[in-house]
Amino acid sequence: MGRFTPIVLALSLFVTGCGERVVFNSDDVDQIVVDAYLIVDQALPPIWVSRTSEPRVPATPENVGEVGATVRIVDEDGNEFLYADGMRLEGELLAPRGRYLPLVPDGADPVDFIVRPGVRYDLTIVTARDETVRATTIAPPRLDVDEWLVLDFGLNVLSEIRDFEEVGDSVYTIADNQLEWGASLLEARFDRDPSVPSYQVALFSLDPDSDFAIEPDFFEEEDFDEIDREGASPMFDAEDGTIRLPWFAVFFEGRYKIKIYATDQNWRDFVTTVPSLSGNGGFGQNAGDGFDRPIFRIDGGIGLFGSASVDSVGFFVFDDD
Amino acid sequence: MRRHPRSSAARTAVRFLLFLVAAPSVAGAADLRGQVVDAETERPLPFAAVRLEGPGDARDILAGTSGRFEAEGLAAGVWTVQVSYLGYLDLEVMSDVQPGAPTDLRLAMTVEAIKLDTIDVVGDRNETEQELQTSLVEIDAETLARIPAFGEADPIRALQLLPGVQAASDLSSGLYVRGGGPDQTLILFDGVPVYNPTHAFGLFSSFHPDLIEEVTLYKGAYPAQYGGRLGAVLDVRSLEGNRNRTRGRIGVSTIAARGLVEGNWGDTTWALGGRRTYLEPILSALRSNDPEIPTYYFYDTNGKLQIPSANGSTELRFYYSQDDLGLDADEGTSVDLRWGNFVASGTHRQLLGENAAATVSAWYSRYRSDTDLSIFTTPIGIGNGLRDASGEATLSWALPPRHKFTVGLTASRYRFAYDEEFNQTTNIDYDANAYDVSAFLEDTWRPTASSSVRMGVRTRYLSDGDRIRVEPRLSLRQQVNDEWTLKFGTGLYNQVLQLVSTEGFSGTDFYLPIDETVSPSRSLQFVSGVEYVPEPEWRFTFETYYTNLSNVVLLNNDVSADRGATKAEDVFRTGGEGWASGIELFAERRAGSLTGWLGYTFGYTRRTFEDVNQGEPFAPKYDRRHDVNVVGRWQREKWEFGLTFTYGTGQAFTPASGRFALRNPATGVTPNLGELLAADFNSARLLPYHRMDLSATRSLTIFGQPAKLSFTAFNLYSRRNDWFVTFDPEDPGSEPTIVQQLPIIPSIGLEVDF
Repeated sequence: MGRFTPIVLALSLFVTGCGERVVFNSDDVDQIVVDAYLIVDQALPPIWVSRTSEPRVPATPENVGEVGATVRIVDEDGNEFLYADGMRLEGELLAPRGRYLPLVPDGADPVDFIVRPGVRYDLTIVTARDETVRATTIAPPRLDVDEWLVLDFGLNVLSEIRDFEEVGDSVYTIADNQLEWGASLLEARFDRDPSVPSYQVALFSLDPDSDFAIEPDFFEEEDFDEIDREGASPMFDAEDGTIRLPWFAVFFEGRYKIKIYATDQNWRDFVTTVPSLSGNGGFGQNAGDGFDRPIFRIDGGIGLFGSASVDSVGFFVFDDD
Repeated sequence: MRRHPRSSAARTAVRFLLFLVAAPSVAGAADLRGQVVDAETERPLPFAAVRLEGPGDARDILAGTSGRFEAEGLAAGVWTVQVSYLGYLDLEVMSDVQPGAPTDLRLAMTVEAIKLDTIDVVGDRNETEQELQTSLVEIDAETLARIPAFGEADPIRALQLLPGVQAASDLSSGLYVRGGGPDQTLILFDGVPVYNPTHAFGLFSSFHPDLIEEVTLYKGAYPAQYGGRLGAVLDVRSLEGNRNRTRGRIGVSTIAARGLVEGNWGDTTWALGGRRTYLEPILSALRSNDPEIPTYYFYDTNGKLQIPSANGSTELRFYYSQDDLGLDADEGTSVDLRWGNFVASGTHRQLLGENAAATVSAWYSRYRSDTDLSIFTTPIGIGNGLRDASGEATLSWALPPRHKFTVGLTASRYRFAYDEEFNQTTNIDYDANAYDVSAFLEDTWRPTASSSVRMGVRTRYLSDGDRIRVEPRLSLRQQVNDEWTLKFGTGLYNQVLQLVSTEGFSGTDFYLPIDETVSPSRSLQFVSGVEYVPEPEWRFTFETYYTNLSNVVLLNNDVSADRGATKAEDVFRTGGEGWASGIELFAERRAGSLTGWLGYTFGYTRRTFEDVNQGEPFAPKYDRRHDVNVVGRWQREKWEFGLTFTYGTGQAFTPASGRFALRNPATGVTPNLGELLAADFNSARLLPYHRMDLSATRSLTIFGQPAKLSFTAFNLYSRRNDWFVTFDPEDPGSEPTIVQQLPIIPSIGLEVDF
């Protein structure tokens, strides 16, 4: 055996090289997931409660929605807002599993259910298995964009876009809001509140059948199929109170709606650390290091309980080619 | 000393080439030292066998990797110096060795026309190991050139084959030394820091292989003359120039063409070389059919001028490297990425009497990287640069018979620039200066003939934060007998320059200083080792190391897209801690027709950050438990074969531990089937890595000039090793993608000397 020992050792190196990578495990299966965010000046929203599934199992409401939980929100003034399981309210055949809706008692003033700026809200969830999840958010101050400007590439103001307050839904048809793709810059200007941690932009193409405004040669057909009609930016600090829209976020002609959110810290941390939202894994890392655990700020579970205030505008994009 | 029968018979040409070069005397009277070189190329001949016969006891010495040897305490009188080296005619010279300044010989050996089949052991072991330092590795140019390489011979790739040194991937020439990242290794070129010496996005280094004379790596516990990094020091020394005639070399590989010319004007020597890719015509032809073919080229050039003077010499050097990638696609989309280095330096060495010498140096080292993107007409620009203007002075003096002191002062002015622009908005425009003034004092003490102690301290003043750091260093060596030597080293190190490096894409690497908002990173190292040299051609070492890290920083990627952060506390995750520990075994055969080494490392590395992995310790990606390297070189007549084999257990990665459903709060849309949840950071392992490279080199003549034709197979059996794992966050049914590393890559090269 002595003579063959080096050969056996060498072969064993190769044998160990034929092992298996464990890319999935079940360490975090069955955790409570909270999905809730409050928008200032809007009614208390539905709250989704679910559980984590195995990595290979789709996390759909049917698979992971949590039923039978007790959900409530209490604001800093002690006002309590109870939620009910949507399946109980709307019927099991109509309602998705895990969605909880705010209960508005008969005679209650709907204004009381509007999210107020600067107010603290505490969420408590108790599941049917007696597990407790808690989270807190402080709604940011109102966001009011002062100007939606069209600039040239020298950053000179060319014109101003009209917003919903001025012209309502005519934002999509009036001349001021007709924008040629890539021919100018669109910039939002506002008073930046120092208490707001961060800002985020969402973009929505409202015409589901509109044509592509750009069709780059280096795109394959499946690349076009994967382009969504809505998208969101990463988080911005916007220290100078301006946010500029990049044209690579606009793929279609037709009607567009932009929303700018002033978010709380929970929302900001969530978006900057969830890989599919942040696009992390770039500079300054070893290859593959971008997959990391997000920041959730949920006690007893994972997910998001955040808040934001929002302002928006609409316009129309055309391609002159 | 036993001689090969053929060398005894062939002992004919006795050439007296005595170059008396005045050099600092580091010990007392009757010392002899010298360097063995090739008479034609002036290249040093490593591990040449030297025998001294004279008024005292005969001595057998094995020269070092630079061909240098030293003998102290000789009886005064005429000594016979006999030198033998495989493939060369034996050389014998006489030298009158007297007390006072050491006699310095330059022994130029002539190639023997008849190749030897084998070589016997070159003699009884009767020498003392001159090198005090623990964890020191020296590789000569000849060895570097013969290690199978991907396209171009590369000193850094060669170092990755040593125990304790790893590569992150096939696409990275970064050095991961004893559990530290590439940011923890100081890279010097002729003593001057170079900040991003890479080509082709880190595929290989930008050091011209023909212009390298020697590469020295301190893997840990490095001495007081160096500072600024937590882990290791790599010192690349360039060729000095041919003292006899003008000669040169041209070479071509599958990637680049290179040239070298060296010569002399009287006593002044010079060397000049350059290298450039030649793929552009091919890419240009392809681009005419497909505009999306990128343009890419790199080039580097460096030169040295050495001017001797009375009891001294002056050296002037320059180094320049540049990479450029460009791509013009459709719809206002383009990429332009450029990065490069420029170094200009000068050094004057002067003898000050018999026992003292001084060195004065000045240098300017600049690194710059610029990235200009346009994505569907949206412009994005990132630029970063570092300028280092420094002056350094050292003074060495011997206090016979036991002490040698060295003091030094280095003053550096750094200028950092970093700018980011997105869609016509400037997010960051950072421009700052920082100063670093360091002084060191070191005593090399030989209490006995068989023991040495090197004690040193380095004191640094850092302008950012107005800080002073004191860094003690200690190295001990005890020769137990002719065969066994014990070594120990320790030191405290601080680092303020942080390198943010991306594996496989080094063109965007940038440096940021630790400023007054964050404490400098610190490491405390301990190294111990045993060396066993039973015969001159064999060497066995066993070393252990432990490194403790504090105030470690990590780039914080969880930031806003338009962050204007320039303070260290905003850019980095701070307050990290870590440690690394391991053992290394090394067996080397240094002479004979078959030479090479076998290295093994067993090691652990851990880091802890409050905001990473919920504050629990984690393994960095490059934490490998076992690492084995085999390097062999076999010479037979006109052929020379090289083989390397590398095996390493799997690197760390983060698996997925669940899936969850959460809407994008800005759009209200839920990813189709949920989002993967990351498990504990780097808690799983990729498959083990192994690869074999093979080279075959044939010596021939072309138009009467000596030439070498080489064939290399990188990754001979084309194992597609794991590089990293990616997950498709939106499709739970799909398997994760295992991104693989390089397949077999054959290459051919030709070089001709003239």
